[in-house]
Amino acid sequence: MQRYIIMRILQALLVLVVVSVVAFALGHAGGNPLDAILPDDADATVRADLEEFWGINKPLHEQYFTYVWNAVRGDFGNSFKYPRFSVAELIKDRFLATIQLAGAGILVAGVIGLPVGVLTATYRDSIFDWTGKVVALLGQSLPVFWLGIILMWIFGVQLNWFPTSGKGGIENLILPAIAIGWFQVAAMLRLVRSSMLDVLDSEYVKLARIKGLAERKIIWKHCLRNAAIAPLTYFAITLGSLMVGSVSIETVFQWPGLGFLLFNAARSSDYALLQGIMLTFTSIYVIANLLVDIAYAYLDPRIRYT
Amino acid sequence: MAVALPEVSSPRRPSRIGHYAREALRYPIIPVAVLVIVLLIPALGANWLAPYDPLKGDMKNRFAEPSVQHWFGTDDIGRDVLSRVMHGSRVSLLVAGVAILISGLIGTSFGIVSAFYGGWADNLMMRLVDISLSLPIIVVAIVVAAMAGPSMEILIAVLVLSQWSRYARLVRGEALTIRGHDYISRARVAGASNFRIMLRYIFPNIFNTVVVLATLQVGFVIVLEATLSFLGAGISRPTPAWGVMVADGRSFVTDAWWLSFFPGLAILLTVLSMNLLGDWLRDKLDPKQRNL
Repeated sequence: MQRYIIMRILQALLVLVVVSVVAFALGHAGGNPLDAILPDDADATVRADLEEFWGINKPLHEQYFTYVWNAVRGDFGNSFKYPRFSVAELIKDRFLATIQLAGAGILVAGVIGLPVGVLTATYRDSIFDWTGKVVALLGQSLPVFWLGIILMWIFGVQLNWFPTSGKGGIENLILPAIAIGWFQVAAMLRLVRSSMLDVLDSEYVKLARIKGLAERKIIWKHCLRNAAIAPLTYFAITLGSLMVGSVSIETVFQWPGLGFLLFNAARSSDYALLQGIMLTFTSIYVIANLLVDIAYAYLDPRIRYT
Repeated sequence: MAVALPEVSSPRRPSRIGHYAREALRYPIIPVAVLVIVLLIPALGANWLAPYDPLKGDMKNRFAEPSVQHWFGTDDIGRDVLSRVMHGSRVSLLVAGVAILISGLIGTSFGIVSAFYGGWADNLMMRLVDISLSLPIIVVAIVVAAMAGPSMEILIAVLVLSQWSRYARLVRGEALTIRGHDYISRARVAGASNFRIMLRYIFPNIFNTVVVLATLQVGFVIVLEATLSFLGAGISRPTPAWGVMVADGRSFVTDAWWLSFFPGLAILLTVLSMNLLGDWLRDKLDPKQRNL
């Protein structure tokens, strides 16, 4: 177990190193930035001073280590597009908005996926089961950005129930949360259904029935409590991938989170900002995956030995 | 001695409609039909079938609602949406097809070689697979496209980067079991080279698995391509691609719902049918891989 965890941590670190090298290389792909900034006939001493000031006269590997050391301390340099802010400030501001959206998505998945999953398992081959199957299938096939626009059109434009974009009160959060949670609803539904089917087949449920407990009580109290463990652990740790998945939904609803910031940074070729967001997103993603793997290895010993 | 036989009712002749309905459920007729109509026919025949030029605008006819002349309406510079959707299927099919072919080739060779040689080479190669699986691909794609400028080549490269490792991991697992079979050692005794064993003895046995995975991945790749195009990291304008069309329609959602609706519907129908077809193919060709 310890060996597995250490290996997994080393591997996560390796991914982060690879991504940081890519981020660093992309920053240098455009050539020497001084060529663009200084006029052609610039004085050699001015040039040397500036090179000294920005540290571009040092060998590449030294520059890389400085870059990583600064990034680890949360210093990603300055944004070109928003000159008054540092990249770290911009990211910090948007980070909370993205967490909020991802959390709301998980909430949607729980509120819809859990009860529907229970119903599909209890009434097999009924109308509930078929609806559940359709929802699960659509969850895999619907492009979320399109779902977002359709929701916006129906509930924002035609019915005028919710605002179409931006951030404000709870009413701004509902449509993007449904759009981003949709895929998770499908995943939740399948998980709840299969674990409910297992539980419904168990001895203590039979005992509860023999005792003459009301069927409703058996299903929603006895079964669900036991069946919900696996889906809930899955959801607690899916936050990382949900955050990365938020890029397109944030862009659709112009939600001021990290994903929308990434989209805008790409449009305005704001390299420092792009690098910073890429490193932030990758770190979240890699750490989340690491936690998932460790949690699963803890719960399922077979994983450790393969 | 007469024995009372139980009366045998003559078997009821199954109704023709019921028979066809059951057959239709047994074979994925509907998904295949949808794929042919939405993807294949437009992709091959868009030049002749599309009623209008997908690139030529008509400024007198902007934002025309869906009508007999323009079934799917027209967009902000008067281009026919139906023609653009039809040409868009060509882009989707081309990008997804090439990306899946390349990632399948790379991933399969990688997996077979990794399983065949084993040891530290296998270890190293599988760590590479792990790394590529743990990259947040959308983020990487956006950053790369922003730095290098979006193009179809870069889009395909990014899709391959996100896909090849899935084939490698699956193929390696299969190849490991096959490597242990007797006929592999016999082929070696008979003087077959390593390359020959991998190509002629191992590869044919995992071909089905690769085909099933490829079919199941088509839908995913099409959605990924559309998402990247939507985010400006894929196909660039004015080439008609479904993701780009949905993105362009977003700004006009209050006045012209059809701009985003129809290209998105094309994505949905294609991906849905591909997934259904993939499920069916998996049950047919490779029933052990229920968890693919």
